[in-house]
Amino acid sequence: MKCSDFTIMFAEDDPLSQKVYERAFVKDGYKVVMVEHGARALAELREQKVDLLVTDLQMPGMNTLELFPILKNDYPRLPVIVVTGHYGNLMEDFKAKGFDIKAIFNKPLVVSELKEKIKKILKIDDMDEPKK
Amino acid sequence: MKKQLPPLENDWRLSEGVFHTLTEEANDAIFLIKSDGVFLYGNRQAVALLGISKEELVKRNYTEFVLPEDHKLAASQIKLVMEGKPNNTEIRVRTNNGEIFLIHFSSVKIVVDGQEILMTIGKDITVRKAAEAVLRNSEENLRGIIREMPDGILVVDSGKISFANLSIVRTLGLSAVEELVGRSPFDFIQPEYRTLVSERIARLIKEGGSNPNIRFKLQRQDGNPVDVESRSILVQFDGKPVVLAIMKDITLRNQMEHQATLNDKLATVGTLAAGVAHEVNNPLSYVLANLVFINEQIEDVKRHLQMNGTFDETCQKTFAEMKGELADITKGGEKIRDIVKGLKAFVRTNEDEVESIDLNQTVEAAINMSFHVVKQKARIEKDFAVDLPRLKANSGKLQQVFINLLINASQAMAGNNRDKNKISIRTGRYDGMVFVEFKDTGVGIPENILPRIFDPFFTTKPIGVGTGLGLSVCNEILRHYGGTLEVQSTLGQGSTFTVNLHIDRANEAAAANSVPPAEKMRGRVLVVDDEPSNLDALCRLLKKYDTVLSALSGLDAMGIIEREVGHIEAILSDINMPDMNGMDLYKNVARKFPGLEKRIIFITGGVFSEEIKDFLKTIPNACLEKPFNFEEVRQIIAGVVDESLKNQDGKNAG
Repeated sequence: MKCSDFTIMFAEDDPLSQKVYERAFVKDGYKVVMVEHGARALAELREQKVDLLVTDLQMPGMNTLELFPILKNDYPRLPVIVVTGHYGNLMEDFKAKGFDIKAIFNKPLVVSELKEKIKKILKIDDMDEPKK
Repeated sequence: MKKQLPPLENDWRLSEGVFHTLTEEANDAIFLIKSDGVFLYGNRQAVALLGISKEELVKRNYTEFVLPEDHKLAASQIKLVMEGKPNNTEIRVRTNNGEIFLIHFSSVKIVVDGQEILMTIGKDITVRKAAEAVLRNSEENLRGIIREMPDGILVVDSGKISFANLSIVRTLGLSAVEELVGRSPFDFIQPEYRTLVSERIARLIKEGGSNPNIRFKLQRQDGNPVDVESRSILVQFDGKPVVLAIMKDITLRNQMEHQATLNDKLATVGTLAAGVAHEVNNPLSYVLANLVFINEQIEDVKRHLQMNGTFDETCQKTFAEMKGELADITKGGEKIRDIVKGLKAFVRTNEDEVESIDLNQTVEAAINMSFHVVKQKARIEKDFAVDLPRLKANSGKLQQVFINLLINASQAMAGNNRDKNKISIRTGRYDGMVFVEFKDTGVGIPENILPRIFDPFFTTKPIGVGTGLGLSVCNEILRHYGGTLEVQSTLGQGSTFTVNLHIDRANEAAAANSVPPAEKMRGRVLVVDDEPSNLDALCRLLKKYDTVLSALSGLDAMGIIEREVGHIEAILSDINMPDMNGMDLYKNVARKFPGLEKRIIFITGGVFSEEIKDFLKTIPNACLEKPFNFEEVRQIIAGVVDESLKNQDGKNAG
């Protein structure tokens, strides 16, 4: 499996952060779907097949905590990565609520670490990647 | 008649009868005592006093009835009188019944039949003495209470201190009351408060009654100031009206209040810190990511140059990308700088500095500071009055009050439904005051706890969420500037907190006389776009030509227009925006500021609803489609600005 086989959705309200995701992941070959909040994410999930969701924890409109119960119900197999500027034991909180989160990344985000994690989750082997 | 009256000695028998009656009926005890102390005679009162019969009396010696302690006194009494010196003595006497009386004896020597006798009149002063003692004690008690009272007391009579207690002596760093008495009270008041106090005293003397509490500073002997809270009353003292001042040393209380303010500030900073971290980390994320990209691109270009040897189109394209990334990095850096600047303004140390403040600006700064805490939970609606007079306070402290109220409002609202949760902020003025009102749609405050919400440490928030100091500190800060904090609340519907502050009259007068700033000549343009990078680009484009204001939403734009009404020559607005779009903005402007809507220029991304399409057909306003020609944008805006300025000049001239 290689990057271009996968579609990643990013839920992020900040335009400049959106730009970074787009820039970093399109270059690697992923198909990227960008939404600015949870409600848009749900709308897009109904429209197209998404392999992984990277979501900001806090967004105006529908935020992640409102989004999760719906994801758990409608898309139980969709891997979710949370990006947050808040510190604390979020993983425990999510587990307590029965949400299966693959990883939590704190801001400031190190994009290369996020890339590594996504490859691991999607089982992408670097050896398969064509050298640029 | 006088001549006919015989001398007493000449008619002894008659005079003896008169004497007898006089002595027997006298109210005081009368004794005749021989020089050896044996009684010769006692009148009715005398025998009644000693509790014996007349027959018994003449058998007894005076000294038998005198208490042993007073024997010496009695002996000297007799001795002195016998030497011819009349004598007054107080001697304690034990009666036959064992009762003890204090008797005042007035004694003289008389000569009867050649025999020298002591005649003494005794008055029972036991009761009087006891009453005197009680009076003396109670006076001493009162004096003691006043002297030792923790509050300072001064009596000022005709401009001079006529009485002072120990507390005020200590407060002033003096050692004795005498150092105060006779001096002018103004010798002990810090110079800047002398006029204030003298006005109060003058009013009190003229109108009587009492003056309410005020705070001012006394001046200690060593020159250091002391904070006092003072109340003065016009009272009668030695039969004339004097000023009684009661002063409480509040230096310590002020320090405690200061500490509480600081604690609350730290707690508020704590609450904000999480949000600030988020706000900073967001731009930091893309700053760092873009740096990684640039690093990669430099490597790419280097590799490309090594392989091809020429800086060709590929390299140029990469460089253009890098330029874009550097622009984003700059934006991120600026954003972080602004957040830090806001935080610095809030926590800065020169807290006692009182400055002339624009209320709207201070509220705006507080909104910006608490935005990341509030924005997740609620919408903010602003309704700011224009041309508000300035006020005098410390902007950091006022910000602290407003941030507290904003955080409280957001915490009062459940969930984060931004359609339902709303904080409406309104500013305005009324008779000499300006006010700002924070109205939330939260849970409201139950009536039974409403009176307690300004108490220190009172909180209904879970441990760790609130210190319970917030509102009490707000109240205290506002009181310091003569302001007030009012609350109205309906359970289930929300609460409204209103801050009232006095206008800075001196500044208002100065503003009225000042000439409007010259920058107006060049014209002002407001740019509205919800996409920050577009907004920045447009602002940069226009910066060379006009003063540029920017708004990220229609609501923000309305706020700015209201604040700057009459000073905006052109508005460049995106048509597609969440909440209030360009069309709504147009309608709002037309309703509130008729005429200004003609100066709106729209920008569109080319895609919009039927409704907007129809709307655009009905108005004559220019509509620029993205991507636009910057020169065209400049020209259109310059045209609108020039026309607006021409109209204003025409109006001014006419």
